[in-house]
Amino acid sequence: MLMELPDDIEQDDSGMESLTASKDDTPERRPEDMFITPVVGSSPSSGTPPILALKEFDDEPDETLSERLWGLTEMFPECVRSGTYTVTTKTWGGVKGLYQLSRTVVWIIASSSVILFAPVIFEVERAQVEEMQKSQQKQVLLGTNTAMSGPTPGLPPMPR
Amino acid sequence: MGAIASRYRVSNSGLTSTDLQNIENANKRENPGTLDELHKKTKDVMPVNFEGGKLMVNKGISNHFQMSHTLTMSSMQNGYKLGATYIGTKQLSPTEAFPVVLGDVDPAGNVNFNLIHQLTPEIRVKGAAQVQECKLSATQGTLEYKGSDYTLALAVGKPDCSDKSSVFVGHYLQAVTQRLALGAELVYQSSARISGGEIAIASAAARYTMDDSEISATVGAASFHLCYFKQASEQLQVVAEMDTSFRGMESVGTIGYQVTIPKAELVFRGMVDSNWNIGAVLEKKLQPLPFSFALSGMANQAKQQFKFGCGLIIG
Repeated sequence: MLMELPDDIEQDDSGMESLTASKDDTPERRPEDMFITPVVGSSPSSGTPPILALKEFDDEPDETLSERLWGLTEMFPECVRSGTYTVTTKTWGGVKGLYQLSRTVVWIIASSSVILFAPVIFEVERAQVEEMQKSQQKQVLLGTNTAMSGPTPGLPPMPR
Repeated sequence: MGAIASRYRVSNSGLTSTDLQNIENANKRENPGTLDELHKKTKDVMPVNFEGGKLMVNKGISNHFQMSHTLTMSSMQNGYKLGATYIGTKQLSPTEAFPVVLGDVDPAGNVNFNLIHQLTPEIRVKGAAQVQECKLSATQGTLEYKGSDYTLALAVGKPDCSDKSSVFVGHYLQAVTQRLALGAELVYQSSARISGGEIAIASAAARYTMDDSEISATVGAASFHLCYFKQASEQLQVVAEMDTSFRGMESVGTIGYQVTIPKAELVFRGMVDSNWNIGAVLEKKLQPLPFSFALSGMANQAKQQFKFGCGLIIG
């Protein structure tokens, strides 16, 4: 049944749309969107028939959290966005490069000091330890000599 | 009171003969050595790296004769060598005796031969020959004359007997002052391989000696070699060397050091150079037996190549 619509509100609506539209229509969606989806790579005037693909509005999931957060960035101007992106990527790249550099430098220093300095240091330490051992042995020998001859003459005289 | 009577006569007429002799000796220039040994002090400090295993057994058969067996096990060259050394009866000093004849033989038949003889106190003669694959491959003869403050040397050689090539080398080194020695070298080579058939290269050499350091340089048309040697302390010697080639337009700088520890009977030599090369050689005498142990390691940090070697000398 056709309703009497007030003239000043919807004069353009003839009411005939309800004959062709389906119940899934919402005010935002137009019936043309249901059938024709523009395909990337083909122009409408090329003559090839457009690929008919149903835009599945029903099964479209809600935007994920990251997509929503990404959408928030649109409030910043372009230069802020690109500046932040550059700074972040360059910092991350710099940190990785610094780690690589420190790996190489530490490897070169370690292998060079093993070849150039380690043997001398080992040998000097060994010589020092040997000398200490020898001097300790000498001390022990001299010590036992004095120990043997020490207490015997030092016996306290017997009380009379 | 007058003059003080002195019992001792003071000579005021100047210098006595002993004083004159002392002054002369202080300014006297000694023989500067040969031009070959100009960079000797620096070369002695630099390590000589080797790769693989090496075993050398020396056995003295008598005062004058010595035999040696050498086994070299490495990827570059491996094999066995029998060596003989004969030291003659002409004794110049407690350490040197002449003539000295050295030879070594391979099981494949390659022979190296060296002869050094001191004809008079000033003239020394050297000869060397090499036989490879049953053919004489290289010969060389050198004559050295050591004057009071100069050295003159002439060498004739045939580095390759298969083609008609010969090399003449003349050296002259003069001690200009007590500390400075200047010299020149002339090399003449005639060979079919060289464009034009023959080539002559002249170069100059200089050496300046200070109290505990030494600078020596060799300048030629194609190369420039500069060495600096310093005795940093009793146990440490440091050298720096720079080798520039004008033909290849490249220059290599090297720093080397030698640490001598008499307590541990250890001699350690190390070097670093500008081509990212590192090398070190450790030599240790294992007492009480007459063993000498050597370890060598070298690395190229840019190409990440490492080569190690060890050797043992018995006797």
